[in-house]
Amino acid sequence: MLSLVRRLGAWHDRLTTAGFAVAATLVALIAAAFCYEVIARYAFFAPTEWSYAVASYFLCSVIFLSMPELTRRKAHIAVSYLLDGLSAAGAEWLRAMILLLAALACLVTAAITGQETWRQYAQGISTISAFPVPKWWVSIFVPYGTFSSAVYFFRQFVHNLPSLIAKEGASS
Amino acid sequence: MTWWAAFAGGLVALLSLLFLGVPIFAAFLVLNIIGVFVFFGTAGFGLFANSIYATATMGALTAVPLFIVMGEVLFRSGAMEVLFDSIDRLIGRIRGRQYVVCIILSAVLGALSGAAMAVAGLLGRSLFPTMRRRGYDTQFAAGTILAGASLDPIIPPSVLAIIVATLADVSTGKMLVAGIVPGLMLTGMFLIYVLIRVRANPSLAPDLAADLADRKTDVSIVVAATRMLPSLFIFFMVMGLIMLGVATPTEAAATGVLGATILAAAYRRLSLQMLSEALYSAATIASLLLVIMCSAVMFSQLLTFSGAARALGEIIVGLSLPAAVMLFLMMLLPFVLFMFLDQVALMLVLIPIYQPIIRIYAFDEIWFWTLFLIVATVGGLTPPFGYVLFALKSAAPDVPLATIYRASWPFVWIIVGGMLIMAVFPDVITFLPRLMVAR
Repeated sequence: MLSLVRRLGAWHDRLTTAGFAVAATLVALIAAAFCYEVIARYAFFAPTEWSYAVASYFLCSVIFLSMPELTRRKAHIAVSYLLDGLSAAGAEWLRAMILLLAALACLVTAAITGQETWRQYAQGISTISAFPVPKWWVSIFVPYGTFSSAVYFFRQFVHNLPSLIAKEGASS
Repeated sequence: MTWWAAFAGGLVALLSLLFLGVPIFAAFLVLNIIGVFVFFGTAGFGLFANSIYATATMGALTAVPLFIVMGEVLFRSGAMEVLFDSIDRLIGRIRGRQYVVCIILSAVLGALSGAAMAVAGLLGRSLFPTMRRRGYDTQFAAGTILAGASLDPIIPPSVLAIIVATLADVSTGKMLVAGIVPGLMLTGMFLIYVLIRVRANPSLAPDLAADLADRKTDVSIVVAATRMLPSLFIFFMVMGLIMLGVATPTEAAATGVLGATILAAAYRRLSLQMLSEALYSAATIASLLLVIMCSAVMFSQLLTFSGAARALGEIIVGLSLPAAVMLFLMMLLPFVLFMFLDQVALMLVLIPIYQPIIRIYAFDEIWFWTLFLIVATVGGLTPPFGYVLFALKSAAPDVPLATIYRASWPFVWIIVGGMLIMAVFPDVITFLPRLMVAR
């Protein structure tokens, strides 16, 4: 059972790494799309219809493909005055509660946005832009990013659990 | 539910979650899920999902990762070393010249990137040790680095300006261009202050001979100035394209990335590894900011929906305060709050509340939001929790935090003085945006 969980964790990490690599590549593609737009407009007198729309679709992918990696690295911006000021045991408890709350928030968001993406897929809804594509092609990254982040928050909570219990035991 | 109960409850809950240390984006998610459920029931969840989607696909925000890539590529291209050597050469034989180098270098770096923390860290690791070794006053040197770094979110390209423009629904191009003159004016004010202080108290800087002893660059002034041109060309290309209406800010940012890449190739620093590091860094920094925005925009919409933004506006207008007093109060509140809270998070709360008020008072929007942007920038400099202070502290761990705190205050007051000038003479801000060709 434990080895299965570890294997799943390793797959999750690999998927996150791959997603983050795609996000970095998409940043380059956004730059390329806009450079091409400027060249097409002024050199060929033929502005594209797709560059602005595609870049904005890619932005969504960049944000939510990067999000799990940021969660894995514990890089999300937070105000840590209270955590820094608490005793080690107190901070450990508070951190555990924060991880659980963040996991729950991400999980509920993933469920809500996943449901919305499913609705878009089922009803064949397209984006409203000069270059329409099925909306779920873009929005699918939101439930992916939030669900994967929820899993990371939960993994971090589980990872911290032994030290939390040990500190609690030592203090009592 | 009455608007004041929703407003007070939401604000107290948000502040509590933030002070507990919940990641900012998660705190907004929690509040928004609860808020949407309270106001609309489960039927409102589609609105919540759509607010995340709409923010994540906002075209104007694509400039955020692009300007970050541009700065990252330039930082890695060797352009910074060239700029440092050239500015070092160009500054004459004056006592306290490293203070001057520091401030001018920061302003130039601000024109090439938009992150105050990155510049404070960079100068803290490179210039700060040199200044201390040469006998410069540690506290005053720290102050000039903090002051210089604070110019970066004001002088375009500025990620913070793009975020303010997007949230306040004003022209991104105008917001970017509006920062040029205030940035230069503050640079001038810092320089005047530094030179006066050194003249009044020569012990703040070493003898000129000692100062020039280990100067690396010995090229002619013309060569030094010429070597700066490629980097400065990128700035003028990006801002020029925006001002002339040739390109939108996002297109200009993309051409800036191309220019920076060509410059890196010219300096023989371009490699796949360097590019990929810059792209990864841009994806990281942009996503950290934009995840917060995506999670929080619904909060602003709930404030509007609950009637809180309008009712607060009406109450404030009912006070019939003179415009100058209102402006002062609208700047004082974020000045205090930015000392303790994250810039983007606070902007997301304050901007929807401020919007109706500035319309009623008929404040010029670009002028007002530029002042607001400068207040947000000052927030990074003010103790006890300014981000820039900690960036310098982590770059120079042996300098006590109390010294860094004391170092920042004179420059904070200079910026406040500068804001007073900009408030009295709005043209300082609005002159350049007025000249822009619309696109």
